[in-house]
Amino acid sequence: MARATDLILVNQSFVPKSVGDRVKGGALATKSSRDAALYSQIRCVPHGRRVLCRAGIQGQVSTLVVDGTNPDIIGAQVYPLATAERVLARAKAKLTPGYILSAKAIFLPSGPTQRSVVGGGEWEESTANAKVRIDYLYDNGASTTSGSVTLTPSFSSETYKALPAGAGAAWGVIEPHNFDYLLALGLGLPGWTEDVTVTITITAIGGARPIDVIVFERPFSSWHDSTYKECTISGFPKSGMVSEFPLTAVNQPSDPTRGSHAANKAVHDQRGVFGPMLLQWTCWNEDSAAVTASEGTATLINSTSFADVPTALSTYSTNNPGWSAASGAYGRTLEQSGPIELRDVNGCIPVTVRAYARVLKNADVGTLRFQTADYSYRDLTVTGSTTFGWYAGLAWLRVPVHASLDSHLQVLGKIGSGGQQMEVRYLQVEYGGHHVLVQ
Amino acid sequence: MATIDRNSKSDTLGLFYNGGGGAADLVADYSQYAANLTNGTTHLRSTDSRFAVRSPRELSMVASLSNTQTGILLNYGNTAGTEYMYRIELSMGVLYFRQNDGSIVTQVTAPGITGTASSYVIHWSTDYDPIAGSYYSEVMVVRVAASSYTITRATHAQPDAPGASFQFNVLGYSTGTSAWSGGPSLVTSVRVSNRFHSTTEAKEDWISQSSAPSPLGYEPPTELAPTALDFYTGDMGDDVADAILDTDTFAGPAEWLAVLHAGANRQRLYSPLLNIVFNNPPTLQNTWSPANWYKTGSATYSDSDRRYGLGHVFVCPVPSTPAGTTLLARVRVHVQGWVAAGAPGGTTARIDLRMRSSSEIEGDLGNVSLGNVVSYTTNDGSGGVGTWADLGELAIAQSEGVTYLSLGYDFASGTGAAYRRAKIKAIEVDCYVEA
Repeated sequence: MARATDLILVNQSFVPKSVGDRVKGGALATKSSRDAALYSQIRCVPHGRRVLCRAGIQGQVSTLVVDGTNPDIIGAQVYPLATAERVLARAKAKLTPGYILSAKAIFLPSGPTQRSVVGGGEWEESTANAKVRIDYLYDNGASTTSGSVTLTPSFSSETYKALPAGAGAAWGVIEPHNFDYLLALGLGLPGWTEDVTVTITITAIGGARPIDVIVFERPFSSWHDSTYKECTISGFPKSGMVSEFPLTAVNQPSDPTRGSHAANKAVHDQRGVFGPMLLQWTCWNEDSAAVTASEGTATLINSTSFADVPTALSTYSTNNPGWSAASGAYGRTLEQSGPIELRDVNGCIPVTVRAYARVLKNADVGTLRFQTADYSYRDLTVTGSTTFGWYAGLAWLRVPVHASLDSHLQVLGKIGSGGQQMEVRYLQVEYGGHHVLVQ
Repeated sequence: MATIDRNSKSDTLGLFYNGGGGAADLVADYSQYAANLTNGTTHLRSTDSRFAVRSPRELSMVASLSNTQTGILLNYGNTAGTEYMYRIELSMGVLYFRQNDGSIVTQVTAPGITGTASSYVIHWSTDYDPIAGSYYSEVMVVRVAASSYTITRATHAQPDAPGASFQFNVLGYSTGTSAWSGGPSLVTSVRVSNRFHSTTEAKEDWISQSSAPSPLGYEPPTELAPTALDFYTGDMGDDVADAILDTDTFAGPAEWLAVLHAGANRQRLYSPLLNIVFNNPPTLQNTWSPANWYKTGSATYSDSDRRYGLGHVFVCPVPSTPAGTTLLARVRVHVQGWVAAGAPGGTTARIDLRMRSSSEIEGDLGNVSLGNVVSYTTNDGSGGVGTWADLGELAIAQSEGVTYLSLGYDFASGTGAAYRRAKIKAIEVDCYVEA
């Protein structure tokens, strides 16, 4: 029989310092104290809102769909075709158990599209069409289920579908959009709670002017049964509901000791699976992308010495642009970062490093170095395929002991020998990669 | 009363130091086992099976290496030298990390090695990656004087089980055959452990310990969940009485403690609200072009000196916080500042930066929180890299779990303000709970 825990109903605020007050030293273990402790354990689950994929203007001073140009012109194409699609970002990540994808976006009013007038060299305004589509695929290791949602921002009412003129006027027409749950067939059944990987693509279509689009995860529900048993979510029902079993990981209601066994496993699994999403990077540049682009221009790596992927700088330095790994502090574990191991002055966590990359000849060998300190980096090899795809590996990276502290992550690339080439479109670093759930 | 050595940990199987006396010093075991080695003058050895560690494991040495030395530094194998579980060997400045009677796991040229002996840290850690389904080793070799690090990684077969007459050797095998020519006097330390150690831990243990940081806000501890030396493969049908006997499970009160300490897991999903490196960022100046792109900051909040551009506004979901507390964040911005050609004398580089958090995108609706105004005044030159400006702590203003973060800036006024230029190259916003 399937067992569900509705994480949306679980009180998501928490007291970080005292979860198990009712089972503290000297207290007798009773059914109520056990229930309180187990419910507290569930309340560890739904606090996260990790952003898995982000795309948009990102620091530029213009959008691909330009502002105020007459679409009826002779010369070069200015606006995209009505049905032209351009991938802004791709991402791949391990979904937090019991979570589902969600999306938010802010848009400027959409602009025109163009079509070529027969004869060539002449363009006119085409059908009004502007969307951002989010494609997603959930993969539980045995099967996949997918879906897509489309965000449809309003069109500008100005001449040539321009942005309103005047100092700061464009801020007055920003339009927020929201999709709470990116559903797919099968979600909400056992097998789709633990160990699910998601793949995400954000695509702009036609005259869309997205400022910022994010796909993030939010708590949803967990489903278990006798085949797909509880791992990170102990399965204790929301307080006040009738409990069918002391703890549902094993169907032995007469043996409460099973509950404590499963509780032990849940806390172990939680720290192995729960952790931060540290970075995502997309090569897309809203300002410089060609109006006909279908995807961002990949960073080309063709040097045998390291060069930073986004900036081309040749060194790792904490003064360089880079990403923060400071939130990695939340993913520290006792085994590697305990008070004896790293003395509470430094940290180290397992992460999965990912790159969406390719080499330009099958035999070319590219190396991507994910580095957070002179003494902490992982080299990821890209080779064997001229088609873009995800490469991933386990890395142990240095992180500080708190999210407020300095931390610096760079990704540098090089190729094996002269004449070889590698291209990189997207990067990602998330917690994990060193734990397998046994259901 | 005996002093516990800082590098003796719960997983340490043997820890040996040379205090200047060479082999006579290295015999003493500073681990919890306190079981000394046998001093063979040219080498040290032990038949204790605790050194027969397969995976996870850590082998580390600090020794003064030169490219004229050769021989075996560390070995666990038979007395004929033909079979071994692990071996570290130096030849012509190259360190060979071998296992299973000869397989080279990886080899590393000691960085900067010369004919003059210099201190090196040699760190070899092995573990099993359950996702990839393979064993792997991380090797780090460090020339301490030059802070030159080489880290490499390799996947390989499972380390073999030990043979019947295997023994542990520091230098050579058997009674010192093929011992490293540097000799015991050039060995500083040796450690054998049965846990995977990160290169970060090797740096902290053998090179320098980081100074104690001063974090802002509440600092969640690492959880005190039960840990295991072996990879956890819980059997849900296992009887608790049997589970007590397993090396990787606990039962009874310890399990309740697991629940108690689960509290530390409650912030594990906290992730950066923003963490972006911008691609080829544009040059910013006080012409504020395009005009409709830049909004003047709020007069209500005395922020009208700043302009906010559409390229620097972001929608951010925020994690849950303890009841009644505010989510805080530390903001860092990477800036390159310079002065354009033709600027009047006395012009200095400057850009003032401020991060704003608001619960609504429009105007001053909803909750608004403004961070510090920080002036970046370094002149990096038009071709410079720039560096990080610390904008300090920002309270996150949110509604229904969402905040809008926007970066405002201005170039101040005065001599040559129109010639001030800047690029915003990256933004980092990491969040935490107030203390």
